[in-house]
Amino acid sequence: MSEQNKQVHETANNDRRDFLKVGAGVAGLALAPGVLFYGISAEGKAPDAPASAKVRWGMLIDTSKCADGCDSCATACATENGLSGQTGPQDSQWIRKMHIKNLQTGAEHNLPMLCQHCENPPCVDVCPTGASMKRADGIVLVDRHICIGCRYCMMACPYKARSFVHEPLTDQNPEVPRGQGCVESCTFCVQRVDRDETPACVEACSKDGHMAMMFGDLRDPNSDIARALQSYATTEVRADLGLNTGVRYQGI
Amino acid sequence: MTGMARLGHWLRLAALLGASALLVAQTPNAAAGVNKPEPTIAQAKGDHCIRDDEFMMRHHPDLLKHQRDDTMHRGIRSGEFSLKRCMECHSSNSNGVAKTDCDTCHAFAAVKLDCWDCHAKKPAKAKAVPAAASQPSPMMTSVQPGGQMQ
Repeated sequence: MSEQNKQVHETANNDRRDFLKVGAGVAGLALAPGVLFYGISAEGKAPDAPASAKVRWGMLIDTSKCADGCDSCATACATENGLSGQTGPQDSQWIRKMHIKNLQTGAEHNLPMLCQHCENPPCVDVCPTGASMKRADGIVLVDRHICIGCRYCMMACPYKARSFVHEPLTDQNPEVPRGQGCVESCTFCVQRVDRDETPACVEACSKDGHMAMMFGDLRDPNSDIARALQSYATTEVRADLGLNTGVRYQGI
Repeated sequence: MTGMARLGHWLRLAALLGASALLVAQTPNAAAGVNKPEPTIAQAKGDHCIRDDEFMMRHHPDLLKHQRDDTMHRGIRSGEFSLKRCMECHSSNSNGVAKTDCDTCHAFAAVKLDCWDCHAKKPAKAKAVPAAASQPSPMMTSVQPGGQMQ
């Protein structure tokens, strides 16, 4: 390296070091009155405000509370989103109630499986048109205006969370447009979340008294879900993939 | 310009005028004796649209498309140009068949609309109360993997 180049290189390094120092200082200032910083998300989003990256919506499912034989979450999902509620090969399932058994130990668990709203979603990675997308607040969605129905995302998803609509649909919920030729999956009931309500499955689970599902902002240290994640051992399904899922399980 | 070219020019103009005259003659006279065919659009509910008619006629696709991206990608739900809002006034239900003013006009203009493949043609209705499940419904899935899910 010539003397001149070396000089430039060192200057650049110094600049970067200074920038990082300043950045750390600014971040410290911003986070010092933490409650104020996070207070915005706790109040919910105004209808005219865009989804903010200061929020990350997530779900915690306590499998020990998830009742055997109950599928209120799946039924509520079907009602809210206008799904058929059937499980045929061509029926959309945004949430599946599962009963799993470890044949070695005999341990049995019940749990709902749905889109895990990954931080690094493989479905978004592979989408050739940009229809599969992640909103700023971490909700993974399909923009049906852009979806060409190639189903690559369905193959990429490790959770089998996505469905394809094969047949023409009628009588959709005006708030949940969905139709033939598009891939779809759990939206965390984005239409409800945007008006500061919890997803239909969480509401149904609480209404039935199971309280197995908790929904909230993972980035708000004062939210119930953040406190629970801090206190209990929770599991990401297929954590080995490094997707950093928004849905976590407790008790499996 | 040569004589031949000038003649050709006049012939073309005459042909054009003749064709126009034919077109006008064949056009069904719409209301008020104006030679302008127009679709028959049912009277929408309400006194007036959210902008004047001329503006809406020309710009409604842009307004809808712009807002759809804001809502879909950014979660902004306060915009005034939503398809759902259009349906509050421009949809009608006759004999159980939902019909919109969009259909009438676009059929007239021979423009295929695929909005209704996904969007509901009706205004939002009150939520139905789900029936209580007395027995396990088909939504249950039983999986017994050899090991744990991880």
